[in-house]
Amino acid sequence: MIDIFGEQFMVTALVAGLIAGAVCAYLGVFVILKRIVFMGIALAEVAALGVALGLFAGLDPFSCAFVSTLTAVAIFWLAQTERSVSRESFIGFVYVFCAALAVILIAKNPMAEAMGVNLTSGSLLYTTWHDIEVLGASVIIIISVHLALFRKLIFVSFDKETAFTARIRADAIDLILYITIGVTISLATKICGVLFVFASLLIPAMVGLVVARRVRTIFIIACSASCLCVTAGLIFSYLWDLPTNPMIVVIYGVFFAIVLAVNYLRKR
Amino acid sequence: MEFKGASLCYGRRTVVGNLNFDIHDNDFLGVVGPNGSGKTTFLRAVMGLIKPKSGKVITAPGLRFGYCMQRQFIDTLFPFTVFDIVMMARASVKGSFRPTDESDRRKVFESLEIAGIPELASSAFRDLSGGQKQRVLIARALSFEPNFLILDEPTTDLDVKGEREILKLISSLHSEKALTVVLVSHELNEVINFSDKFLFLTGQGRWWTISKEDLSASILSDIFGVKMDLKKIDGKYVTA
Repeated sequence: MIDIFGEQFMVTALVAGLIAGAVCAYLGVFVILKRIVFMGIALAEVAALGVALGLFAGLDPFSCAFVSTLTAVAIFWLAQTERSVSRESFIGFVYVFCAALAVILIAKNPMAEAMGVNLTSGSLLYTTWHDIEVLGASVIIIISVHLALFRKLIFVSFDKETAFTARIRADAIDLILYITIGVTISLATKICGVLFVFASLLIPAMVGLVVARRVRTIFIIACSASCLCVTAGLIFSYLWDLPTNPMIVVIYGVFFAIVLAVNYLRKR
Repeated sequence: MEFKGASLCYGRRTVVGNLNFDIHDNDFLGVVGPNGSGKTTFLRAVMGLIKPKSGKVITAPGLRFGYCMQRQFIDTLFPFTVFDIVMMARASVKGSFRPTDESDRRKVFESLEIAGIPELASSAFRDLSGGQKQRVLIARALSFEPNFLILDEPTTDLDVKGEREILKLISSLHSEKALTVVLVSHELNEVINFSDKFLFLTGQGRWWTISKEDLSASILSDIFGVKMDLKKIDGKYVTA
């Protein structure tokens, strides 16, 4: 085990995976509470488009992912009251449009083409300490904002209408939540890929929901489950020489299936 | 609160047109109308969540709303406890970075006590009966320390006993805590004995306002466009 993490690239992969996985798992609880799961994958795809755009135009991929994701967050937030098309279909439109455009941009750029597969499946093993510094600094800011606003974020996510009547600036709180989700997704997608980010947003929170009896416990279980699966995924991918990020996602899936099965048997 | 020629819209559709109407301190207003007649839109205007398309809604300073939304719209996927839900109201009272303290806990238990469910504090909201859930929402509304209580269809899908108990609770809050109450329902019989004035919304932007003393079978027949009976049995109004 120590041998595995004796390799520098495994250490950076583990640190980045743990940070990205845990923060995505934490935010994933809000994503499920607000029933915006589809928005999560759409934002991850927008971030991937940002990275592709950056590589195509010779700009910093991090910055492009950041700007494109925040633009999408602003559009989704502004489109909340739009009634001519459903919210889900609009998010679906953004998802397919960005996915298609990213493929075109990658196809037209040799360098991007070389990295193209990684936008979807990710490449944790290529993480640099600079990536980790950027991700870590952002996560510290995001967690600080959430610690300050936790009760309001929960209230608005659970029952926005009543929060409005309580003179809470529910739209602003919602926007803050969307921005923190957007920033996390944009940074994590550049490092870990769409697949890892979406799985980390979704599956650990689902594990928490199945296991926990209290809402606060869901957050703890989700983050713990994410850390466990990321570590296990890295170890198994190293031992069996398999692609790292898809391995982590498979471990997430297997872990969730085991949790579901145990929960089912316990209830019988 | 004064509605002065206020037209309330849902999307592009005017659901209540040119509303001229006052709500006074300690009124118990029953808002009655069929589904889609604009009851919830009216409530949103009362709480200042929507602005009238034309006209004005003038609110007195110092109004604090306690709002009970329709409990069917409360998400039951997450295992929020009764305590969690009632404590949410305190989020609006507390600033950021300030953890909840003993006074908030006291306020929550006080509200649960008034709603008659202190023993359910640690129960999961999703496991409760309809009547118990409604009491939790009333407790949360009380935890805002309101002077204006707004209830949207609080007795929908409750059995007769549960319905009466909830209405009794609301009535006692009105009389004992001197709260102004706005109760929305699509069931006339439900509110007729508890409210002291009524706003009838009948669709296509039309509305009628009437006090309890002026209530009669002929007026109700005019409002609803069908022949209606109004009888007083054992001191209670019954419509048919």
